[in-house]
Amino acid sequence: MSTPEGVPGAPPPDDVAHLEAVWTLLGDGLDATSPERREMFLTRVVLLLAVDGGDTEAFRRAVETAVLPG
Amino acid sequence: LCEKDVMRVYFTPQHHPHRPLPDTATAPLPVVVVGAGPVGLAAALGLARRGVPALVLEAADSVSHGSRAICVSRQSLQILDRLGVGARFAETALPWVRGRSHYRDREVLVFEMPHGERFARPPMVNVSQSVAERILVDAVEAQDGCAVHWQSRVTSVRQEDDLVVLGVETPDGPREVSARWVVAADGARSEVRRALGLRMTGTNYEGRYVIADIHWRNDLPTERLVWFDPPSNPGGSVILHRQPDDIWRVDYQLAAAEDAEAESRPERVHQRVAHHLEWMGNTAPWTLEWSSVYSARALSLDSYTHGRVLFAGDAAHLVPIFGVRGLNSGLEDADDLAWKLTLVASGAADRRLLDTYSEERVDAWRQNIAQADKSTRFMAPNTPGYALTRDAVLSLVADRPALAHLVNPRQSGATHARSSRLTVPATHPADDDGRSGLRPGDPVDDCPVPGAPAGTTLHGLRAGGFGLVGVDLDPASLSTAAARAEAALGGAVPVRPLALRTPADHALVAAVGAVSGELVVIRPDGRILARLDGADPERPAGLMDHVLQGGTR
Repeated sequence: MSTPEGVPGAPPPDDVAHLEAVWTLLGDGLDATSPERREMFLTRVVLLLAVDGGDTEAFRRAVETAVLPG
Repeated sequence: LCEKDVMRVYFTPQHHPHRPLPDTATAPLPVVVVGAGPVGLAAALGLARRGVPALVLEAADSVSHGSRAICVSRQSLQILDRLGVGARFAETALPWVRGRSHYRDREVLVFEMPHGERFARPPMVNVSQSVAERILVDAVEAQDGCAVHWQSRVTSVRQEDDLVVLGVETPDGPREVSARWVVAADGARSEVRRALGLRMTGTNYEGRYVIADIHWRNDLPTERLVWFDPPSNPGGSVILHRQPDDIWRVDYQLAAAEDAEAESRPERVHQRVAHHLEWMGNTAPWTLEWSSVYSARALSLDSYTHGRVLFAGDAAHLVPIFGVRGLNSGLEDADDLAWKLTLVASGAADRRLLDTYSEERVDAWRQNIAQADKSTRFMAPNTPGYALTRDAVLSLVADRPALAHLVNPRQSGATHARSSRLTVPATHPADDDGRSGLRPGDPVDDCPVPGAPAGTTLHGLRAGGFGLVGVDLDPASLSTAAARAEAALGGAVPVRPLALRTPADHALVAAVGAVSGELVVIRPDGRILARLDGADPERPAGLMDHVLQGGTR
């Protein structure tokens, strides 16, 4: 996931570190949860992020982007 | 469990004989109320106490059986105060302020409702509907111009130009009763509604609950106890409320696949209640006294006035049980209807005033449904998505207090009349100049009057009429304004002045959210009609004329 510095459009180093941490933390969290409880785990994560973020519009965009019809 | 030592104290209804109906062929009655439930009885009392005779027709021969609507809100207690029965409710019912919610076997939320010395009444009391009706029946029988005729079932309704003719089935045979006005308060299965061919529309929810009364002695405090997904009822919820005399109300949710008829058999109810009490660690004996099955519905008539028939309570609208808005909204109906019908029946007001009863109370139903819908989706989520989200919230709320708002049961509160035609729009922003935020149309919580004899309250001083609350205004001008306003009403409803001074009367000034130089006009039902600057002696009389014309002036 590392991005060479100086590439046009590449995220700044702090964002890169954040993205890589999200990748690892979410993967580890899912692996640490039994398959039958992963749905609840993800719902809890989303709720905590939404409550801490306090941004209804950002949350609405996230839900609308993430929903998988059918 | 051993039941042999449990003393039977459960409510036993008194059976009433039929009393012959009066001959109304040549002299129609002013008002007939159909239904001797709490709403009908409250409407009849509210009318009779203002000098409008009201005859109550009840199909049964006794008050209802079973706890049914057990939670009576502060707003309802204030209404019962106005009906002269507040003290009996206070000495009979159990007050409570706190609730505890559990997720599985863990307590996740403790909530408290606003309470303390600044309020005349507690936020909520528990009393069975049977006892509440008994208190109201006693008051009706003691009130001049008011009586219940038991075993009198309304079977037909015929509207003529200036009266309503009711067909009534009695032990003496069929009878006809004529009245200028009919209040239909005959419950969810209203015969009057059916006779007029009216239908309620709205939403039926999926969740079904068994509700049961048990006699059970224990030391648990009077609190609202709720368990979500407890081991005793996996996937469902259980609610527990203490009533007077060691009677407890248990509500538990049925799973979608469970058969309500089979689950409502006494032996099955006993088994499931026992399962929950044993899980709680109970070893004390108890008895099952009554049970029923409930499903949540949010239904309403489009209008609560149909010619000279006025609908109130469950006959007009249904709300889900969660948040206890059924009985409490019905008592608000009765409170609003009584003063308006008094003015119309006495000839002081145009009948358009009754249109505002319908408009305000239909709007109140919408206010109630907006809250009850949220409560119902949380208590009994009807989709897998909401069920998962609800459980996720419950599992996190102990760690994230911000989520508590979602778990809080949104207990019934008084509805407002901000959009009513009667309500005079504010001339100031709600929070300007130190005002409390109470807007015209908002209900004012009753409060004790400091330094006055015990039991004296702000709303009590109005004697069931309008109140002119002036802050730092000339008392003589205020009295003149009240006298002129009362004269404008033809004396049918009193108008009482209350001159307050700052800072001496701080508590009362704060209760109405007023500022120095302001005149707050309070309606008989405790809602703010207008907030005016200064004590122009003519202005309140002009406002009363506005009321008498149904807000169309």
